[in-house]
Amino acid sequence: MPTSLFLPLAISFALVATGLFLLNGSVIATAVPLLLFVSVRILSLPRSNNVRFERSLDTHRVTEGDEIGVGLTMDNEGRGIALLSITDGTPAALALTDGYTQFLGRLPAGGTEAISYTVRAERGLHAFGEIRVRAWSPWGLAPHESRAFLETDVKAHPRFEKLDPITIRPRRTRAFAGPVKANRGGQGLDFFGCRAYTPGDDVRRINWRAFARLDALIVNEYELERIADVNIILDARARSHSQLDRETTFDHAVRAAAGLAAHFLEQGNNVGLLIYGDYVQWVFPGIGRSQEERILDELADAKLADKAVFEELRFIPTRFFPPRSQLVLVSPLVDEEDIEIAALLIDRRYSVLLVCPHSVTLAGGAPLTEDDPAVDLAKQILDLRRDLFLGGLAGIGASVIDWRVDEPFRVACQRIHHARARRYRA
Amino acid sequence: MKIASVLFFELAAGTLAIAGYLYSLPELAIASILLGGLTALGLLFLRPAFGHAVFILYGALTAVFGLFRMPPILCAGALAAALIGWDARRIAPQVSAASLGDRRRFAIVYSLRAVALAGIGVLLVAAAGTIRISLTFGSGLGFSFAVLVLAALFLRVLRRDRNSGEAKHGEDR
Repeated sequence: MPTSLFLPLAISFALVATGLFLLNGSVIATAVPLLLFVSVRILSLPRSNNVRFERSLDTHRVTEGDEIGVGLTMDNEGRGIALLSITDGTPAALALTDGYTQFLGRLPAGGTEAISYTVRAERGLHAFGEIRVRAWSPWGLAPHESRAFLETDVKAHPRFEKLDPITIRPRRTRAFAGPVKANRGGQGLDFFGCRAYTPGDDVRRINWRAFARLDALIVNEYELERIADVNIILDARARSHSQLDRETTFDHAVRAAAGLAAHFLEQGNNVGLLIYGDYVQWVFPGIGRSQEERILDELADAKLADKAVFEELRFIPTRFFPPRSQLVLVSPLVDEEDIEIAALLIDRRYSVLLVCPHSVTLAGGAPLTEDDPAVDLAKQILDLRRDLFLGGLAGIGASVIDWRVDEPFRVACQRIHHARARRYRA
Repeated sequence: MKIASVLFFELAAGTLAIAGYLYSLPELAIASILLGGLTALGLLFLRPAFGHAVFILYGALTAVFGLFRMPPILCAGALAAALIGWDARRIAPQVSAASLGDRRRFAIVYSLRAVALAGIGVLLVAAAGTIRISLTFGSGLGFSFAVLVLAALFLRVLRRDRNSGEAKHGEDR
């Protein structure tokens, strides 16, 4: 029984019972307004309404943090409704920034009303669905409650930064011209080596100094530049990531993966995505703008998961990736086993770029403060451990982007390049 | 709606307090004032469920007033005001997503309807003293039939509430 009827009815029965028990007419009479109220509630049977809804959105694909304008139009195709409440069911992840999600007022027969509001989207697939309708009869107090379902989806892609060029050196490239050095002589810009002249070679490439020294025709070779297969692996295991203030390191990892995918696609590479955590979400490698949309769609939906099957990185399905191609592993790499798996990928002759988003947090989830010496010591130990792990991986050939998530990802990417430049100079 | 709710509850408390002083029952008058104060604070800052507790307290206090042979019209009036206050507090969360202007208009219209209904109830109580119905076979049968119809309607409402389903179609633009 609804509370709107139960409570007045219970109180009125209690009053009547008390009055009868004590033979007190005043107490019995006190129950009259309550009984009348309940009777009117029961008797005022509001008819079901006949309202048609239309919802319009500014856009169905946005970037997280963007605002979306939503409009809901309601046409009354039945009798006039004296008092009407219509509440648009906004998904919980969309924060209302402007306007109102509820219409409250009169809707005459054939009349049209509209509400509009603005929401801010978090990353994910959001579905507007239920519209709650409450219609009061002209003189009654009891509303007729109903729900209309009007499905409208909006996808909020992760926000990402435009990155400066990132150098990758996969062991195998594809046949088409691109930005990746192929480690083979041919057409290109960077000097690669010299070889003996063969008929058909461009005479402009003859190295005349070598000819003078060796008395044989030698041609310069330049390094071929090709597109490459780049597969991004996003670690979505709950155990790998930590809770920050409002977000998790996973949210940052998703943004980094989106930025990297957009960057490598813009360079013309063949880019795929594997999200490892809930199940194996795999976007087959492809090129171009449509592939970027596919990857961003998948990343928009990416969620942390805690599955025993995917507890360890060792079950990454490497058969999906072309041999000796470039892998980009976006993972905080929490323990020795993870490091071992990353090393195993390098052993299998993949070129590995590690992106390690991290932020040191206390067990309770609060960010660390520098004031406490014990906390400071713990932070130093963790930093040393991380340096040891990542240094070991860099030593066996992985490129490492050690990214503290409170700084922009672009800056972290620049740091790896600077480190490389220093290594080359040394 | 919250403010309307507080106003009606305070009206009920005020009515009971005045009645208490007028009929030399200062303890009950003070209890009414305390209940009024508690209501004003609780309704504004606590959850809607607080309204249920307050309404029950008002019911109990009104019954106590009735036991002391207060005029039924005062008790009924106070309880009717508390009923409107409780109903308004119950509805407040259902209209909270609307604009302030809409909510204000709704509160006025809804309160007027509730006051009209409560007024009829209080008038009935006032008229009860003057109405004399002799209980014959015919009037008894009519009364029983009316109760049966009310019960049937009540059951129908309950079933409808349980099965309240989807209303209307719509289309995505």
